[in-house]
Amino acid sequence: MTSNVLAPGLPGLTDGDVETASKSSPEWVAETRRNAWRTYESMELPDPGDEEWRRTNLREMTFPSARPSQLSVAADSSRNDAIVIADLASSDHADVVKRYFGKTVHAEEWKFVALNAALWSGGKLIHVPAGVEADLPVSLLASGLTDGGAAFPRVLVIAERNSSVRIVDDSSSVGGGFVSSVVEIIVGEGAKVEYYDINRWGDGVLNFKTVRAILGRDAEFVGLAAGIGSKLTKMRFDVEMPEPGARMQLLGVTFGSGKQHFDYNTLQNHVGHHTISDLQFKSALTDESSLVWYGITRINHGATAAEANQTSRNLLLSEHAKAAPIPILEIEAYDVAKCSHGATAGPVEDTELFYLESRGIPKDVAEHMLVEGFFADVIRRIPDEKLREQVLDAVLVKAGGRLESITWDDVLAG
Amino acid sequence: MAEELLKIRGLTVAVEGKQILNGLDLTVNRGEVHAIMGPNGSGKSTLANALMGHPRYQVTGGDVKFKGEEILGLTPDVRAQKGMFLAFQYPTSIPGVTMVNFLRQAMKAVRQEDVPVREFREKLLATLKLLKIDEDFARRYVNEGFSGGEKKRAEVLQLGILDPDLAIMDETDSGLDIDALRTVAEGVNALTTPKLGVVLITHYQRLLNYIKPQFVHILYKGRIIESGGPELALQLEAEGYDPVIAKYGGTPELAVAGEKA
Repeated sequence: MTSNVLAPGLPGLTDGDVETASKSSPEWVAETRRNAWRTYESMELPDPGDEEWRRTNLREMTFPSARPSQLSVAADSSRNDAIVIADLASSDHADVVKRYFGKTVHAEEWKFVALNAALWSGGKLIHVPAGVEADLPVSLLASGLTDGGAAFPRVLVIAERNSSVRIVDDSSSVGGGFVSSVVEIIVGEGAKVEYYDINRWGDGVLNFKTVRAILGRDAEFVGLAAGIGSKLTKMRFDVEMPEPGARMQLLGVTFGSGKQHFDYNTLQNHVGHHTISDLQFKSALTDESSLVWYGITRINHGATAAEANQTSRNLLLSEHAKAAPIPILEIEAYDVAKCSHGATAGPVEDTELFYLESRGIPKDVAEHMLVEGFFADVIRRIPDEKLREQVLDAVLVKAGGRLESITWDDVLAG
Repeated sequence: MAEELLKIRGLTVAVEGKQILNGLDLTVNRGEVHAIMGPNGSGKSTLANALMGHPRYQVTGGDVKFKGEEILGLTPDVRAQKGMFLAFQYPTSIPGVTMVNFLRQAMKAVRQEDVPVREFREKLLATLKLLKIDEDFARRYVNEGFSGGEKKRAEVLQLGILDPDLAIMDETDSGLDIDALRTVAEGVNALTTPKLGVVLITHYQRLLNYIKPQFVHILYKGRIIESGGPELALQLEAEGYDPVIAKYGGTPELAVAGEKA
């Protein structure tokens, strides 16, 4: 065990755990684990002077002693025969995993990413061959984090040229614990990936997650972060567009309660010309919950005719709830087609509330309708209707469930 | 004798500490249409919002009885459940909430019981048709991206569906071209029943060519300064507000320059 004051690491974990995790891994994986562990040990916790960490200071936090949990990730793959969904450590797919593992999210980026690279378990490879369009979503269900345990989920998605796939990454547990997840997504030329993260970790969990997608020419990506569970979530959600013609949407829906803290860092990185990005992050915060969204839109030199937008809207449902939405624009290109941003935080609009109340709807129901509508307006961007409903259901559990709703088609049919 | 629906006595209302209504009296019976006319800043919208219980409009005196019951202590939703309805001058948009869900919630809330889908459908389809509104309207978000005319029609649609006893129409004619005005007015006329009392708030006489009031009141500086029959509106159209304001002892310029309320 090291005793670096700034890099105390997570109490309870040792290099013995790396050896245990390596037992079922091929040698090349064991090697990356050992290297990553050394990186983990040598790295300090992030400096709170660093803008991305200013509002979630890990150096002031006490990390409880945790032992690795046996994480199990169930992948529902039966209906997608053409897609490879495999254990990341499986020798059958070693070639492709070796080529891409750790190349999009590097172990050296920060301490808990290194820790994930050393101790990941239940890792999944999702490999979609060229031209294959998966019509049904691939659903990953992570469970098995015991109260007070530590879990290190890892997902590698490779969507080859002109393929498409939709992935739901749903995590849940009860109680506390520590989680550090890494998701790497490679979207090939002309391919489309949708990735939906549903964070339903137990209410004591410290949840750290890095998701990064890298988009090929004319590729398309839709990402969603649904923040429901955990005590603390620090999520980095980056999309890189090095090639021309790529387009992306990043969506966020978070419902905070109690003393939950959510801290999102996003990146829309335009390198290729004619790249398009749009970010819509929304939160509703009750009790003493808090949220930080620090989102960078970077339009690099050469990303001509790029279009970018970022919007963060936060509903404060209690006077003690706090939101700090921080949009950052870094524009180096001369010829940008469109670039916009907006950020708000405040209570439910009086005029909207009065409008509903004046129609006989009691105040509590009216507030609930406004919160549902607030989220529905982001969630409608999810192309798949079933998924839309699933996400809305999951988020609105925090509001005490959904109001009875009906569509016009239902009315016409019923 | 007609059944008394709304009785306002000595109503005074302040907005952000500023007194806007200064002792207003008005009685409306079932089956009657009352037009409240007045220059900008006379307190027309304040009257509408205060009657419906908007928290920003602070009642500082007087009383209001609806169907014989004192309502000033009631929240807006309860007033609506008792049969009051306000058609807004500027209806707000509510992104993410569809018209169909909103209308169903409102109908259930006002009736205080479940509404069978079949009945809801028939009522909605009939009212949409009456107001010449496309069915797809129901799929849209509440007032989101609606044109001025669509918003006003949506207000009248709600009047039809919620079936109140008292309808307060706050400048339902403003911002409408003549065709839209005619459609809206025809809609209101078709929805008017012997049980309904209407308070028609307007700046212009032209609406009264389509919706015929039995009573016309002139509101000025937060008080009704003159009441009469339909001929009063015609007189206003011919002469403007100045003569009647002068008769009351006011300064005509003030009336024109008065701030919006």
